[in-house]
Amino acid sequence: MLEISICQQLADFELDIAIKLNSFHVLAIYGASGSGKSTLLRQIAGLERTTRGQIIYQDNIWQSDKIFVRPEKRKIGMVFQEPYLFPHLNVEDNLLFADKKVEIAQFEQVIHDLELDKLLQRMPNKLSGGEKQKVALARALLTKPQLLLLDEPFAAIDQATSLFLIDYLQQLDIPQILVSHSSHEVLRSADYVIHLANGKIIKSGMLNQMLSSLAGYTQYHLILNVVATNQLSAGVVLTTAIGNIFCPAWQITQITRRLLLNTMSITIHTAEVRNGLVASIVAIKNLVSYSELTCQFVTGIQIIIPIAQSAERQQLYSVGQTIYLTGFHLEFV
Amino acid sequence: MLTADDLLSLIISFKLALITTFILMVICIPLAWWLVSRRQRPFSHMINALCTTPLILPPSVLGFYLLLLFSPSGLVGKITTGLGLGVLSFSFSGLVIASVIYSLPFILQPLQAVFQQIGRKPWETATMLGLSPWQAFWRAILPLARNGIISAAILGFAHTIGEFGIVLLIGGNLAGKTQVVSIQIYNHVEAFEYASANLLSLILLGFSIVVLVLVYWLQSNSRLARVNDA
Repeated sequence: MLEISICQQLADFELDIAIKLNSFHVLAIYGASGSGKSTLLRQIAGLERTTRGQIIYQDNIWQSDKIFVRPEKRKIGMVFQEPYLFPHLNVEDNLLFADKKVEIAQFEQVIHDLELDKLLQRMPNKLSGGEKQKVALARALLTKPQLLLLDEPFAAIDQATSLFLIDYLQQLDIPQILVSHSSHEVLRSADYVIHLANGKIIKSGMLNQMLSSLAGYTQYHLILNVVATNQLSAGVVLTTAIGNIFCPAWQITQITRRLLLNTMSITIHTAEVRNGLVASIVAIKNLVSYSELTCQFVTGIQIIIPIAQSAERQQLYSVGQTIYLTGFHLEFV
Repeated sequence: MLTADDLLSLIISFKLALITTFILMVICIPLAWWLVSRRQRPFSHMINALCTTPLILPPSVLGFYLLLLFSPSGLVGKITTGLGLGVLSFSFSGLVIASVIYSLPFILQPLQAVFQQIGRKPWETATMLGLSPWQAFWRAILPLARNGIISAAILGFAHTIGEFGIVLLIGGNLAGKTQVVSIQIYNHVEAFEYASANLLSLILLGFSIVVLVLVYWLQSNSRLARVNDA
């Protein structure tokens, strides 16, 4: 459980946050540069002290009017945008900086997972930005944190490494708070999103409820986690929460854990078709020049499909009707 | 050739510089870090200004006020005599205290510059890795500041060796007790013993050049410089 209720005057605006979350895996604090998201993260870490308010995590009061728990007592791991490695220590000594008596099995697992095996004797000035970030993440994980804070960790590294790290972080069983100004990064990692602007929460919610708040995405997008894949000669069958979707080989450049579905490309059938996903219409909303069909799959997941109003006028669709969906345009994110 | 008094003045100068530097390092390392960490606080500006005063104040002014303070009727003099320590003026102990005050900015300022250059990142990183503030300073900051600390110590040592005005006012010119090398050179010049004055001056000149070469070498080989070059 994370409960934040803070109010602090910053140089340009007042940081005024009030949020309570029962559980999350990756909580993304999203917003433009200078919106107060890094300050918020630093206050959660204890690197900055808020003048008014409280921060509670897992029933531990980290800050209140009377209490301030120092950062080193909070059991937090933090990864900064610019990874800082101690320049006079090699990678191995950097990794063991916090605790030289770290469990060998844990140490070996982390360096293996993050592909640091061959870098242990290297000095930090001989590492690339991505390698430095991997070391910084491994070093934070070796302290066995109860919460991982990520301050724009992918902003200064190459795309391949950022994809690798996002994928790795997704597999960790540690709650994470990610600060990012990149909607793409949020899309790839988060399950809960807080959208911040000028120190205030504009909107917050589960990732799929927040897509219209992310730059470049609309309510006609949906994020799906890929549960399993079945490779065929012509493509891949992806098992998702809305059913099995066939993705032709020509559409695949990479397979990741998440899919972005654009509902604008979906074809709606009123009669059963081969490979069509079954859904039912739960709402029809008429707008000025088009209509929106809210459809629900058997698993409860809803999508919004825009349709031309002429079709609606023809009484093709009605609430409660069963429909069959094909023509999914998928993008791995 | 150096006379026995010349040698003694050299020994007193080096002893004074060594003790002064040691005391100043103990005071200035934590003070410089504290001032750099809390540079936004108004109180720190006042301490900063106070510590920098000896840099712009004529040594004779500082020496004069210290002499008044150390005298038996002065504030410090009353305390020291009350404690049975005697009077500090015209004593080696008084000389050490005066040197510590006068040389303070020459050690404090380079240390502040080093800590400023290191920045808050190593300290924050160490803290987030679970180290206490003391551990973070000891294990993350001090190793990075090593060469800067040595440079500051060398500068402070060299500056103390060259002190004249304040030494003359507080310590007087007592052979074998407070007669440092700069005063011995002054004595030789007064007595028209230019050869002896020249010899002692050459020793100080050589010492100064060696010190500066050492400081520049340390700065170019500092861990921070190496990292920045890479």
